[in-house]
Amino acid sequence: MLEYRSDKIFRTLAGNRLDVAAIVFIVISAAAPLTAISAVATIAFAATGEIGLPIAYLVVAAVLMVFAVGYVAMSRHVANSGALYTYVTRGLGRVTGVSASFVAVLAYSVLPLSLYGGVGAVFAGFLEGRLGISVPWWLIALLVWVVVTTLGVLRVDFNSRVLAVLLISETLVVLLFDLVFLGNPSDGSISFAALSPGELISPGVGTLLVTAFLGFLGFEGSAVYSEEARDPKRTIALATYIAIAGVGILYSLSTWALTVAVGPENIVAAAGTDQTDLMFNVGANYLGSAFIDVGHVLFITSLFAALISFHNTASRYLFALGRERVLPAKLGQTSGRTGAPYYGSLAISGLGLLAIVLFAGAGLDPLADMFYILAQYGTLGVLMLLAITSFSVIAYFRRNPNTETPWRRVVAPAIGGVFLTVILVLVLDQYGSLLGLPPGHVLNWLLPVSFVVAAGLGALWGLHLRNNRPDVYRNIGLGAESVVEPLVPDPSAAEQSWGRTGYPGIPPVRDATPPPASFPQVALPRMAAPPSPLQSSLPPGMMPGMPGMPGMPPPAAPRRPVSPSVSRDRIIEAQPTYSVEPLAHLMAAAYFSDSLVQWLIPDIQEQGQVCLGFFRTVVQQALATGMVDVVGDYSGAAIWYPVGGNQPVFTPPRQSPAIGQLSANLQWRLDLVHHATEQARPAEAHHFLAFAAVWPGAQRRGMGTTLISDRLQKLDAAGSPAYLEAPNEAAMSLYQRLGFQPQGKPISLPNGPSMYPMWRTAHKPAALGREQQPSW
Amino acid sequence: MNHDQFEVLDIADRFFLMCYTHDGDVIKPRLHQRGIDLGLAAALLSENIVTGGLDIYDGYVVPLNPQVGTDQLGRIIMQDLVREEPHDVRTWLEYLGQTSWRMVGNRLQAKGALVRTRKRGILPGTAKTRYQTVDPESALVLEAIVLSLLSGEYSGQSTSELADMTVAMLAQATGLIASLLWDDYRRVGRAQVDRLSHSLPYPLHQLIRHTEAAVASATIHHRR
Repeated sequence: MLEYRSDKIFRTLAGNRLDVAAIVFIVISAAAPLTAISAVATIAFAATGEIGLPIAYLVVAAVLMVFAVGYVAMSRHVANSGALYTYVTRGLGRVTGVSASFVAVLAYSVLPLSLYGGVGAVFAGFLEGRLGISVPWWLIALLVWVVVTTLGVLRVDFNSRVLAVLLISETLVVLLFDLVFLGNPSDGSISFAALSPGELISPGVGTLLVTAFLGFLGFEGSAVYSEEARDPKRTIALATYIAIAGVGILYSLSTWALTVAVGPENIVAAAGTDQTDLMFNVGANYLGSAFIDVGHVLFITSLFAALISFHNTASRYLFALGRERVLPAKLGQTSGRTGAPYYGSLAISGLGLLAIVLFAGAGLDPLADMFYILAQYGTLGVLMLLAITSFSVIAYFRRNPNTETPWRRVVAPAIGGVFLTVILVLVLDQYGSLLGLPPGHVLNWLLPVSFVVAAGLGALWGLHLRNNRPDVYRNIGLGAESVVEPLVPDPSAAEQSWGRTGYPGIPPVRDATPPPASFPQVALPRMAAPPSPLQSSLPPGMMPGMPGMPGMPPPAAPRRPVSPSVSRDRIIEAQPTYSVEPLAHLMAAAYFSDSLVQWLIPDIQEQGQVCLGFFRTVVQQALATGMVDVVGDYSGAAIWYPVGGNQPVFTPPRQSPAIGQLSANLQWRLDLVHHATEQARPAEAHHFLAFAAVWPGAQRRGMGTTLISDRLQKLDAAGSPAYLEAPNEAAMSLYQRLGFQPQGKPISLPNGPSMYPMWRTAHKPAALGREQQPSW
Repeated sequence: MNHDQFEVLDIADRFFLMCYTHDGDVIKPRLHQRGIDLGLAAALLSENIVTGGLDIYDGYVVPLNPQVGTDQLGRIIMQDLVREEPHDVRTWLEYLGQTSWRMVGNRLQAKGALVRTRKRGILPGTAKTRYQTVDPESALVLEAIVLSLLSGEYSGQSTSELADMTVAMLAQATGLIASLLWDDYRRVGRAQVDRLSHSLPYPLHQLIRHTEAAVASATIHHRR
């Protein structure tokens, strides 16, 4: 007898897990406090002419805290969490997800570019101010570019302990400055003007909010670590809240202290003159020059750390999308020796070089133009993503209720989404003043529009993938986690190796578990349905419900030539010993986009695996108890069940352990199908067409028609009627050509598609259409 | 150890030797450590799949026969698999990946293919275990076998070729293939990998795919 099972695996793995503090450090290091306060905030004071930044930080922190409630809750349910487009994919669908991924790529690619300008200008200023060496900013930016490119390809991240030391030092420096500033107010008394909520009731409120939001960028990365967290439920949530609250309070305090020291009425002018040196120049009046130098050096390292962090985020985005083949597969390759996302990293570096050359060549300002405008541009994209993510969270939990509290799944994401949308609208309204560009400047509208264009292109690409690359479409949103497995049944290879005969030298591989002795009665008889918008425009001769109609995924890059047409002698009835896998893959590929399957398996991420697992069970059962007509090369198959009379009633696999293991939700929905359809089923003995599938690459050739009419002829000869449930009215008319007639009322599924029962009495052969006549 | 003895090396042994260059005194890695660890973990699982002890079903590792195991290491892993709660492939890869390098290194040492040396670090307590190939030339034979497989020269299906095919597929899944194939052969090699992928027994095919995802995931979650 086996010993009692231990939990050794999880205990062992837990030793390597991250705790709250580790995740907070990883996340905030990208936020780089000195960069945000000394660079972003001062330039924003100058560019916007507003002083309300300190209160804006607090407001944005509050909004993001509320947003994070739903975000973190959903991160527990999705793989590849941390990539915002994943949430959109699973909430609002794959096409919207691809659209969001394009926006994300644009936004996250721009952020590291902006920092080249920042680090170049600040370092050059430091060298000139302290050492008297005059170096052009672009030369330093190029040197930094070489370092970042090398580190990216070699996969050298900053060690997390080094980051922690830098972060703590930065924070201490900032807090010391704050103390000094608050102790030395410009007019003798501490002014709370910059913290007054009244500052937000100004025409420039949008610019203040988005600038504040920029300071928080990177917090969304916390969810990346949900699988590595010690306690995924608690650790990520706590780390995210701490990071947001910490950043909000520190930035608000520091920018407010700066306004106190300079004076609220002087801050805009002073920021315009001193730019990123403002904080250090004011601090130099009270602190020793050595201390200011340390602050300056930390400022530069903070810019550099933020640059590395954003570079890695962007290249991993490209890597994840390359892995799932949404972007070129090359981007999904890693360097063998280092494991770095090689091409993704090089692509971002290439953009960096281009940006440095363009800005230097055009003689633009590295801080006000390159750093500030590019950072604001990228931030706008991330803000759009966060807003749509909020609504995706709601949509996701609407389909997967009962897993979280209403506050987490509806209320908080709704509040967060509305506030983020309001901020977005305000920002777009005041985009010109945000950038500090003259009214009518082309960038004022070009930059926001570019995200709309990216989203549009992404949606078109998503539609293209849906129609032409079902194997890719299936994996969208999984990123690195995607098990890239083309749904291509290759019966020749399959039968040789994992089929009946087993592999030479090893025991035969079993075809998963045998079907249980008895199933409860749940029926799922149905043809694969096309997406609804295209249902009414089926070309003549097209088999209703067959994959191969417009909108169904065409071939997934077939690896073998598909026979141009099918003749009846290639249709064989599968024996119970046939291998399950090729048939299950065929059914899954054909039914993947079917509206009933989509309803049965609403969770997008589960669809691929659960769909395949479901059809494995279906095929196992059909081979054992039904009749499976197969085209010789597994390019098409139809599953029939003799029902009624002396025959056992069709009993799909609702309680198969495999289904239970796959998804409890699926079991429940199969029950709903059973209850909805059992009344409509005829009592008379008949043959029931449960499934019919044609491999996407073999569609539009009449294979489905041939496959079904072949069986109908045999049924006619035996005098057996046939029954099916058509997926839609368009399909009905086409079934009518095969001799089926509507019977009874349509069957409705709760919040789901309808099915139309159809009955066909046994015909004489002549009743079939001319094209279905036997060829002999 | 002579050439013939290399023929009987298990999948994980072969993958281990493939992960290193053997042209010096000390073997040097061709693949990053995380890739080696995960690849070896997958190789250990695949040994038990080939012998019929394990199956992969819907992403889960399913022990079929606890008595089966190629050797002591295989049996130890089987015992773990039988005693523990069912876990998915990724969890097992992560778990076995923590010790796979040392386990397989020790096994190769026991088989006489490697000797273990310790290299002193600069600071106290930073000494590292290293392995050295006993017969570097023989180790290159394995590489030649897998390269000939990837260049499309294999024929027939025998048990030993199943091991070679699995090693070749693991090389592809972990990214090792990039260091093995020269530019001219990469395209041919990758096409061949696609063919091999569909010739593998289904559980091995699944295992390879999950290994690929695990290595990719390690790239995203990279931290130090």
